[in-house]
Amino acid sequence: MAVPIKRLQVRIMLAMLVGAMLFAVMAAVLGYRAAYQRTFDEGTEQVNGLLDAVDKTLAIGAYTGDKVLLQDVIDGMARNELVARVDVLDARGTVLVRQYGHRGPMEAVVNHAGQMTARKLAAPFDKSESVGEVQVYADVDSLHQEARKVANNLAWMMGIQSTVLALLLYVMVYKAVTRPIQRLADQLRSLPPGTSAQLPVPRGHRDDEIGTLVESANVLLASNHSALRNERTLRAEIEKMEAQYRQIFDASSAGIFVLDHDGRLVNCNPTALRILGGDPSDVNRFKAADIIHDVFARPDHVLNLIDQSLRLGGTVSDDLELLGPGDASRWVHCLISVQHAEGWPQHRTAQDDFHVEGVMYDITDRKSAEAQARHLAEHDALTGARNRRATEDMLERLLIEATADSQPVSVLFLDLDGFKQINDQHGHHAGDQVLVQCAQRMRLALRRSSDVVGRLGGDEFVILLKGVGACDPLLIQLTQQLMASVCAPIALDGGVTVSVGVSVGIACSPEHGLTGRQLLLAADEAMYAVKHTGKDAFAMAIR
Amino acid sequence: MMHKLVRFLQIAAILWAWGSQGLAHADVHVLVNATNPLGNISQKEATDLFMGRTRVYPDGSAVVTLDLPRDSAVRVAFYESLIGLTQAQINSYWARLMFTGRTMPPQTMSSEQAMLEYLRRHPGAIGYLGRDPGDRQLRTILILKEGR
Repeated sequence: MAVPIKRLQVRIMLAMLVGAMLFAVMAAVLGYRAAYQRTFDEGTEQVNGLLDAVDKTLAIGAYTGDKVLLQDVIDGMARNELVARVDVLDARGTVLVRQYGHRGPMEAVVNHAGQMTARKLAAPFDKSESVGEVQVYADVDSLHQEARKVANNLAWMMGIQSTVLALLLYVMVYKAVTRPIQRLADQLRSLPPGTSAQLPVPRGHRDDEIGTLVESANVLLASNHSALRNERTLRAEIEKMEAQYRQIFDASSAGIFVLDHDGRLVNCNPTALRILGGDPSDVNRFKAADIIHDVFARPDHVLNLIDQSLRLGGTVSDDLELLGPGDASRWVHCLISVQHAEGWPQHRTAQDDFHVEGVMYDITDRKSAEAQARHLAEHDALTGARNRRATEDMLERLLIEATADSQPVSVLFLDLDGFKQINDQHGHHAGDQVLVQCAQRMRLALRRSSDVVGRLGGDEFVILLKGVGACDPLLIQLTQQLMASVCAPIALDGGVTVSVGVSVGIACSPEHGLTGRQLLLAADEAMYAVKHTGKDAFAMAIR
Repeated sequence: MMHKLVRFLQIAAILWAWGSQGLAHADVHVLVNATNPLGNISQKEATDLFMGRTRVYPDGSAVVTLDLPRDSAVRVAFYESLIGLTQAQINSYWARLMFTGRTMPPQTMSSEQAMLEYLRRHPGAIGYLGRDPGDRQLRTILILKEGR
């Protein structure tokens, strides 16, 4: 409970009392003045009345100089309580008679006497002649005393009246205002939050401010109740939605991650963890890790994507290779977008106010399927050598690279001799075995990874050598090794051993042509020339 | 002189015959003993003497004022001429003064004759008559004209 002085009714009562005091003091001051003046006026009036009655006698006394008569008359006047002194003067101003009031010739009375009234005395038979003057002095002390008495009475009356009023007001305010308000406050305090309860309007207050207060409180309670209920419903919905989103986030087949501006992992879902090579319990190992440099095979590529997203302000995506736990490389398709901390400014204003959101799919399987498909498309299924189209493409690519590097390229056109006979004699299976064996031997003879072995069809093979020119002794040496390797006996499945010969035509860039087509044609012509002149030899294309 | 008196009496008789006014319209002579120190006086001085204000003569001797009987028409006329008051008013005036005993009203003579004799015998006395007494021992010091 509050300190008593802070209570409303006490404050009102105190204000009332203070006001009453002030009022009483004011009334006393004003009353004092008024009483003084009134008493003075009344005294003056009385004295004047008295003078009216006796002035003729006084005039006669003054006229005849009869001091006894004058004295007798002013004795009567001086009996008035407010009269301090009465003088009768003759025409020359000499005091004829003097009479003091009931207090006698006291110093205070003499010194503080204030003239109340004075009256000229006219000669009884000649009004134009003045025979003297009567002067009446008031007892100012008595006047003040009288006035004080009146003022005191007034102040006391005011004070008592105001005090009684203040007490009455105290009781009324307590009964009509503070008690109902206190009760209302107690009731409100005891209510649980969000209650649907309503407060009763106190009896007798239905139409007054207390009633309005209670009704307003009830309105507030009701609106609080409904607001709380709405909020609960809303929160439940939000929780449900959050759970759904969490479910989506957790169960998504896409890996979702958030990096800060330094590339450190802020958050990710289990799928992302799995892709990154951890399991869900490993979150802490990856938290704050430098994902970009630790996980991606080409961090510069990732940084480039982030920069691109920052610059273009959108989502960018690419296939990225991950550093796998072993040799097996893993690939992800990654969508990256940069989110600014505030809004979406077009330009990076501060280095630090953005984070990176990423979504990634594991595309390792797709990547390997693609590679396999490409291999199938580019290679001869039987021998594993490149097929015609892949060989021609490869030649074109080699030529472009070689031209840029000012390097020569040599094309060897090989045709097996005696293959048709083996095919006819031992069957297609044997023929196939011979082709496989020959291709394998060619590959073995060529150690460099840039060297290409292609099969154009049937028993025609092509070998592409980058960096080996027409005048290069290595060219002849390699050709002879190839021919020796291919011509060695071949053991077939059935225990039969066969052998084939090979005719080789060589064309070199830039001497025999600058395009693949020109070089292949030149090498083919050289090979035919060998075939017609004796087989099992090699020839350089004619210039 | 006789002629004058006859004429005065004739007029007086006519006025008397008219009634109440009677001698009121006659002149009143203020008289003193011939040895009295006063010379001619003004009406005001006469008032002061007769109304008790002046109680002594300049030489210090006491003033003795005389009145005719209460029922005398001359007395009425005298005061009427002197101060314009009625007998009742004058009685009231003296009543207040007599209370103290210090100032006394004029002595009332039993008749005009008595006044004359008193005046002859007392030098300090002062009185009045409705006529000139024609007496060497007396002296008229003021004549109050009728109607003032």
